[in-house]
Amino acid sequence: MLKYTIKRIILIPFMLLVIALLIFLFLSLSKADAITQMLPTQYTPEDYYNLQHELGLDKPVVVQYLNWVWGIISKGDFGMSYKTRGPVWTEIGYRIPTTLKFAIVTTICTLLIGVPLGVLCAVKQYTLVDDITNVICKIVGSIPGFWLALVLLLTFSLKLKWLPTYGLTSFKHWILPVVTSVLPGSAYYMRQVRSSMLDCIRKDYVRTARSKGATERTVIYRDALRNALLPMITITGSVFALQMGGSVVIENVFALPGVGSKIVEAINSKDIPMIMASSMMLAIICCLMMLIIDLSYALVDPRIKATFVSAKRSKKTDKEKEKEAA
Amino acid sequence: MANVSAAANTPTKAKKVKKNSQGAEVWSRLKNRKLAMIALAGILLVCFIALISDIVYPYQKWAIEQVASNKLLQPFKDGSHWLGCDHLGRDMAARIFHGSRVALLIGVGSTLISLFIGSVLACICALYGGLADMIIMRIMDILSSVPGIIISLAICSGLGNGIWQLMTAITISGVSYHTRMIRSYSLSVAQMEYVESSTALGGTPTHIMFKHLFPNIISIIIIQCAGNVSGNILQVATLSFIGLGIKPPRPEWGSMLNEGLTYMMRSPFMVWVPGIALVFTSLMINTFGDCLRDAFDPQLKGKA
Repeated sequence: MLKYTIKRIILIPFMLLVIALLIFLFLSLSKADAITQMLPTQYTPEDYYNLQHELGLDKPVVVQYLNWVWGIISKGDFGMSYKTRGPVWTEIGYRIPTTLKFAIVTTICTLLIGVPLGVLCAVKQYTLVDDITNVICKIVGSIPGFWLALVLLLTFSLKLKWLPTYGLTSFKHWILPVVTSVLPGSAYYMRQVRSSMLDCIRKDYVRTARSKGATERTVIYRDALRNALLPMITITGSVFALQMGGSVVIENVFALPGVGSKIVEAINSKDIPMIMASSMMLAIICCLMMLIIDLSYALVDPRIKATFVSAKRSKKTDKEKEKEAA
Repeated sequence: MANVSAAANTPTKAKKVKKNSQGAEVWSRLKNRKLAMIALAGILLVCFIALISDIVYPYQKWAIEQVASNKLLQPFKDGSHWLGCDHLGRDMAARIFHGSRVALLIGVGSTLISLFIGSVLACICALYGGLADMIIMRIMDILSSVPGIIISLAICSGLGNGIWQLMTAITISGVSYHTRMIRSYSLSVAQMEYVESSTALGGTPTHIMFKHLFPNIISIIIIQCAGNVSGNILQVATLSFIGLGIKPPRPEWGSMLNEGLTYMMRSPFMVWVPGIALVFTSLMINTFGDCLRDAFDPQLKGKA
């Protein structure tokens, strides 16, 4: 297990490098647009080549990428913004806590709403509670986050004037963005918990537990829920990633000072170093989260855990068992 | 699981009765659910709208041409523009109709491609395990360690705006999710006794994959497919809303919402109309997917 953990931790920088390469390759396809956008409307080819040289975009993509990586490793320098011509880091650094806080708060709220509702609906399948929750979840789950944000803004901020429209300065400011992100997320999570729970409730071991006289409560919480929540651990990771991705849109609509709104701004101004740096920030946060989730998955499920134990060791234990038996 | 439990529970006499295919049984169960039929009708309605949009509203004249006198025309005021007109005087109904084409095309197309890739990869993972599993899952880890929308953003801003670019972006960002999900199910199937016995009897991985793995996870694939189409339609709209997506004059629900954002105070219908079209479509697809799930539920087989 320890070996697996260390392996995974060592893998993370490599994973990030591959993601960075992927994003870098795609973004470099649009470098011509980026250069023309920085030049005045009337420009000569000479201006174009000068600027290209100045930005270092005339070198091969791989060299650019290696330079970029080396800059980060040696100096912690994420490059210069094309737009402000200042270091990218000064504009992103202070935005990270907002995005991180936002993603964690929304993920926790999602779990708090999703798990109990999902279990409740599965246990009371085809009853009124299940039907009503299902209908609400279906409707909420079909609403895109940004439209929900627009509708909530329209009703609560512009019509009723209860809540502020943008910014993140007080508790009131948090309500609309969090509600907007949590509603679709928890509807999704609830559906997953429900279906996973339903699968488990119909399993043979649950029937066995019932026939052995276990109370309904024990059957649900000890046998069904535990097994049903296993696949949910992986989904928690995707919910977190979903919230991080959703923050791109939500931050944009509510004008929150986070990394997500910076990405959109940078994309619209074709500011490649800024796009790189801010998407890598989100990638790093998600990578660390995935690591935690994968480890806990392995820790909780003994079947998965067993696959990490190397073949040699399992043979040994078999032999030991044989010896013990003898 | 379905075939095995059904076979085990069926008395020997019943084996002589001609067995209905799973598809026919699912369909007969679906027919009995009103909700499923309503949802199916809704989906067909959207498809129908997409099909007839060219006949009812000729593209160039209604969806693209700007009429200055119709700027921000409110809905239900003018007989020929029953959903009103946007800030450039283009008919909203025509743009909604033509927008459905883009939504359906990208939604269904990218789902099918990414699900196919995902399920094949997942089966390989579950059957071969070891190195193949390790390599595929690390690649998927790499892809899914970034929120899908970031990869889509990078691809879209690199490739530029357009339908194929959007489709590529959404397909790539979807593959990792499908692979992870389907793998977790096929892992549990691959550990079943019948797979073990098939291996013991000399079944090749390909044989196991098509005879045992696919039939048992097909319901999960189909259910995911339904949920994913609507998810992808929403993602297309999201990307267009941000400003990456379809090239501007072409109508798309997300970019229509983006335009609506600017005129939200004066004419809220520009936010309501495309949004409701979007929610209706995705709601119908999701509902149908849910009904499909119930219809596929193997433990209910024979009872309904």
